[in-house]
Amino acid sequence: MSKNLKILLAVIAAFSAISILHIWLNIGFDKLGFGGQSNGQAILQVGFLPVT
Amino acid sequence: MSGDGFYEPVRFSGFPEIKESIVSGHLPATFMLAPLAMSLRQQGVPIKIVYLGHRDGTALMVHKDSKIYSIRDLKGKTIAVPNRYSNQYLVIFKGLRDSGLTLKDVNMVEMPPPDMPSALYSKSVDAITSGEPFMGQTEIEGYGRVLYQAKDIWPNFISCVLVVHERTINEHPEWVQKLVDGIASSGKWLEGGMEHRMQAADNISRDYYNQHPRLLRYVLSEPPDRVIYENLALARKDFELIEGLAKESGILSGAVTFEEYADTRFSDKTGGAKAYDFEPAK
Repeated sequence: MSKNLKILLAVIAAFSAISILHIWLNIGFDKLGFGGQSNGQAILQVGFLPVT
Repeated sequence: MSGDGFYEPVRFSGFPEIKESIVSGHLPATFMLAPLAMSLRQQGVPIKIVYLGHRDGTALMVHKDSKIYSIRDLKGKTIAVPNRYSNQYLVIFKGLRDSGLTLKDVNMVEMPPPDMPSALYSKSVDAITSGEPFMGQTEIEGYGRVLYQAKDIWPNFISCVLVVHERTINEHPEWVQKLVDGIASSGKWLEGGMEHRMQAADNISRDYYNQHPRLLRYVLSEPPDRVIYENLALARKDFELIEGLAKESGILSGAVTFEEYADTRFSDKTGGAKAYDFEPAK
């Protein structure tokens, strides 16, 4: 295996690990939760406590 | 109640978690205790209060067997509050002050509202105070007694306000307006009759609160003005009253102005809000 191929595989492995970590921790790359729904409409997350 | 899918309610169990989520920027909008929002803004957190969540709906409960029958009887007692930066804390301060006592005469402890009923039941605290339905829960379950409703001491009491991250306000003011308009229309609908309140109690308890519908039916009807969902636009005089009590009690210090922590652009446009055209199921 060539040195360049090893570097490429290492980069892919590192990127995959970071991606999985992000998904696992539910961090995502859209910190404010503006990601679109499947129909393309935005969702605004609103926090609440179950009190009136 | 989630409308056309425009927003997603995210349930929390305590105000510290809500605070951390909006401070970190992970949460674009949230309902939060008014003094907590004012304090965060004073500390430089880029948030604005844009609307009220409701009015009234807070009581102070004691154990039905206790010998506490007046605010003066709270001297030396332990009282659970949702947060130091809350109007529940301030209404106790005001009540004590009006009775010739001070905060030093009681022991205040912070506690998540969902934990309060069991704390009162076990008598690990002498009194609890937060928004409903946790106060009403102690009445329904037979061990709680109302010492006062906050509105008896503080008319038009404000508990939670809608807070929005400034990034969201700047980038998507139309989303904020849509959210505020939706709350205003929901409030109008809720105030449209007891059958509306009962329908809301059933839906909210099942879909969002995960509580028994009987409990929400109780706190939305006994009495009907226990919680109010109109007159929710931001008013300077309401917040100057909070500011005054917060500074007098020592939870806020230094300069904090209405213009810094409030953005009235959205609530100013709700004057003509109409109730949702939604008929409850028969």
